[in-house]
Amino acid sequence: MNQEKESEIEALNPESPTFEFLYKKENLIKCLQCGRCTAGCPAAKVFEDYSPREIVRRAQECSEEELAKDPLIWLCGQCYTCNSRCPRNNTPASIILDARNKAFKEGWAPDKIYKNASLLFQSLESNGVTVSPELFEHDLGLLSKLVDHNKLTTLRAELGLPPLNARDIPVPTKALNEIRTILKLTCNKGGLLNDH
Amino acid sequence: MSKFGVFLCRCDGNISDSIDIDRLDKDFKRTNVVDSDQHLCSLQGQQKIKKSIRKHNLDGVVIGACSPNNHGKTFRGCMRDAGLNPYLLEITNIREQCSWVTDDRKSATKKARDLVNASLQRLEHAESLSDFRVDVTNATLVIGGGIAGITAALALAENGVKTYLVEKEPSIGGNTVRVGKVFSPHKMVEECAMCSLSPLMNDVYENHKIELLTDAEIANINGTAGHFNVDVKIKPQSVSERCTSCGECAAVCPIEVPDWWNANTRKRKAIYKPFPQAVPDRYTIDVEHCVKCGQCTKVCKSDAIVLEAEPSLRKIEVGAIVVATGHDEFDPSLRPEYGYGRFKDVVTQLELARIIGVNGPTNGELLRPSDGKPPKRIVMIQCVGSRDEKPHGLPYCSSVCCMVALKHANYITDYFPGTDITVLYTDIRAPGIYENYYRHVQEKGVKFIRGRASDVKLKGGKLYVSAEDTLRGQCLELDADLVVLSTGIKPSHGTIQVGETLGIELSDDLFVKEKHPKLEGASTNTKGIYVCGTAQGPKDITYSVLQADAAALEALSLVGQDYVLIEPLSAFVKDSCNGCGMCVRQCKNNAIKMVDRRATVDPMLCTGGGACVHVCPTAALDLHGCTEAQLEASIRGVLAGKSEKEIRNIAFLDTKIGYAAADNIGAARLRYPPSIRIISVPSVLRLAPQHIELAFQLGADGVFIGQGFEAESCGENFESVETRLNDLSKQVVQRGIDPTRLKIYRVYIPHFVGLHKRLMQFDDKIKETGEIEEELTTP
Repeated sequence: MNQEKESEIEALNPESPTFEFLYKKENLIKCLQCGRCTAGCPAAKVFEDYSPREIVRRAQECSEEELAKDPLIWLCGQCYTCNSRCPRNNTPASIILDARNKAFKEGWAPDKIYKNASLLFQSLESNGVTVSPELFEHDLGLLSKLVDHNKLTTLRAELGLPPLNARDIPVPTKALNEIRTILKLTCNKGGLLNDH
Repeated sequence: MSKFGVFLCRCDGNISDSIDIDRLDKDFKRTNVVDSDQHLCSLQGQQKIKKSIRKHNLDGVVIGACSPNNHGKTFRGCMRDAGLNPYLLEITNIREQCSWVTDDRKSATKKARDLVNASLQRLEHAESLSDFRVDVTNATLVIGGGIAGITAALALAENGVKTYLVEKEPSIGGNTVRVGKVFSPHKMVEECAMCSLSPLMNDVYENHKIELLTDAEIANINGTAGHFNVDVKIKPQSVSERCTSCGECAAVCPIEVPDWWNANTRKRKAIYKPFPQAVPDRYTIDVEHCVKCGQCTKVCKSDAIVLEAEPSLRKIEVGAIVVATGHDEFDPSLRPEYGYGRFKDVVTQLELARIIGVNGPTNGELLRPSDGKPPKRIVMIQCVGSRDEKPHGLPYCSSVCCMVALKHANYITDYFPGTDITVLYTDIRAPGIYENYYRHVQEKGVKFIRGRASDVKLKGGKLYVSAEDTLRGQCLELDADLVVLSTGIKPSHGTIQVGETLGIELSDDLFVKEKHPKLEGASTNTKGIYVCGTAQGPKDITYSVLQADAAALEALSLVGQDYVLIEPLSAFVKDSCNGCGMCVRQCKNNAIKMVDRRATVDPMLCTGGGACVHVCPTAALDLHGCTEAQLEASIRGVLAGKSEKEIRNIAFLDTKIGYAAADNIGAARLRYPPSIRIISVPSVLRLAPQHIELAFQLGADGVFIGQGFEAESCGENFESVETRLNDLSKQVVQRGIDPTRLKIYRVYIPHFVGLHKRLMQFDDKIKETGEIEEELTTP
């Protein structure tokens, strides 16, 4: 295995002392501030304050801590449209992902993030399924603008399909056990959920 | 025994402040004729050398002065004047690579003495050589008949030089024909491109010094500056000069294909005339699409059509070549988010140029393609494909698209008032006087929003462009009746093809690379081949024409000479050749051929890198200027007189880049220890494992190999040079050498500091490792 790969894996391990921003900050300096990321960003269309272009600008200037403490980073939907648009090969979504990891680990993330993470964890552990809308009904907030509960059912009906909840599909026991092992090795071992 | 002269330059203290010239003078006088001067390069200094050569009837000369890159030519001239063969000269670089880089006077003097001694040893093996004389053919070839090629051809022909103008299309004119209008920053109006171009095209046709070859491409080339043999492939000429351009043939032709001359906005027939002002003024058959139904032959009154015409090959001889192969437009369907090809009303600036062109698909009316209605709102998207590092993108600024958008915006507001135009830009680039034009268009009410559009959507039959107004931090969705994409400029297919055929160096972006970005902007890295227009990089008509004149001037000054002299530093074959052909396979320049089962080198094609020398199993190949004996003498020389516990490291650097970078280290007065001894080699491919081994056996403690970043050797690309070097390194290690003693490094001239750092690190490491172990077997 080459050295670069090793250090990458090292940095990925939340327990490692070298856990850090994976995103190559050197690349940020090439940003043209052309706004193509924001222009294509679905979240920026909903949340007026949120702009991936401005996140990049902030990432160039402020500390990792400052960026990780910025509540705006939680508005990104991680769709990576910004990645496909950027003419200079930057990825605001990855910068945000790094900042979120940092925030989550340091306890700077908003309370609801920890709450949602633990719901997600429970859901995964019990039946191996990640997200389903009703899990987060308590916390849709502005997202309710985007999520239309009935839309999926309507769409399925239009296509002649019966209503279906993702959680109704059973995850095979073998896969479920693997998921549980992954959870044990990552979330639990990293102690990310225990503190909150 | 040979009698050698040693001439030392003091360089007004640049050398003599750090090196005790008087001391060296005394030392060398024991066995040689010695003299020194404040400025050997001055006329007085040169006179001194010449007099001494004649007076003492010298057999060879060593000059200890600045880098041979500075005055090598001057001193070789001295030799010639004094009646001595110029190749019996060794220049010892005691300035850039000694006095300027060494701290203390004692070590500098010792190093200088060693280096001069090494040169004297090498001089023992020098051979008299004569330059090759190439008679210059007083004719030129211009490849590409766009505005740049036309300009260059006219400039050459008007100076009395026979000029061949080769164009791959059936008419000259190129992209200038298609742009319709050109911007005029002085008058703030758009002028007719054809009105400027057409007279020039006619001049080409009428000038008897120009032979126009249309439908033609370069098939093959060989030769050298002053005399090139070129094969030109000519497509079947189905319509002869008898054609009167009456157009009856096209009227009956049943085949319709998109018309390139109209940016595919309209159709043309398989027999067609590219455009009314075409030169040559006749119809042509597109053989790719013609079904040979014969309808046209029936109606042609002049009997001008030959359906079964054959392609032909034309052989021409020229002294110089001008490449003017132009550009292509970036294909906007590679950015599918903009909807080009999916939405009819998303067009390129070139297509818009055709739409508003009087000879275009709408006869000059601004009508959109989908429903033929006039668009009320136009959104222009800048930087489509330009300043874009995504796959297929052009990382550079295409330099003209901002002006093209301004030109069209200005024209439309003038001729179609009430049309609302918004330009979405990344940065507006309107340098120099063009800023006036930008301001003028702003004053006319065209909106400029700083933000690169993300995508174009079609909703409810209307186009919407997503963009961010980055100056206000506001997301916008602009509705548009017509979206115009300002696509970038990329090297044309022909440019890349001609680059390959001619073997000229291309830039990273595949444009033809100019020899020097400031001082030799119309020359290529191949002597005798010049470049102009967008073949060299994105530029507007103004600069294309200026560069074309510059290229023509360069070509003229070459073909105006009677002959050119070529340095005879090529490979040569000795009697021991057994005809195995290994060298023929090695040489990527096709300079070695088998004649009567014996390898023969064409010195005109040989680039003198020497990669072939050590592939020969019978040691029958050698290289003039850097023979085995000369190279070995250099290695012996720089290691001679090594005292106990002294560390010596050899740095082999290629002459073109590595050695020049080392000179830059000196010019910047960076210091390095005298333990580093530089040997210049034509290319690192000249080196074989036995040279490295010999260096270690003779006491070198480390060997550093530096190959130029841009210098490709013997026609090999960088990857294969690297593979060869890795093999070399492996073989040396296999022979029991500690791998830390051998370092291979890529040199890059502007980054000479990097070379300096690596040399220092290497020297430190070798000093740490200690002297080379004595367990090495002696040669």
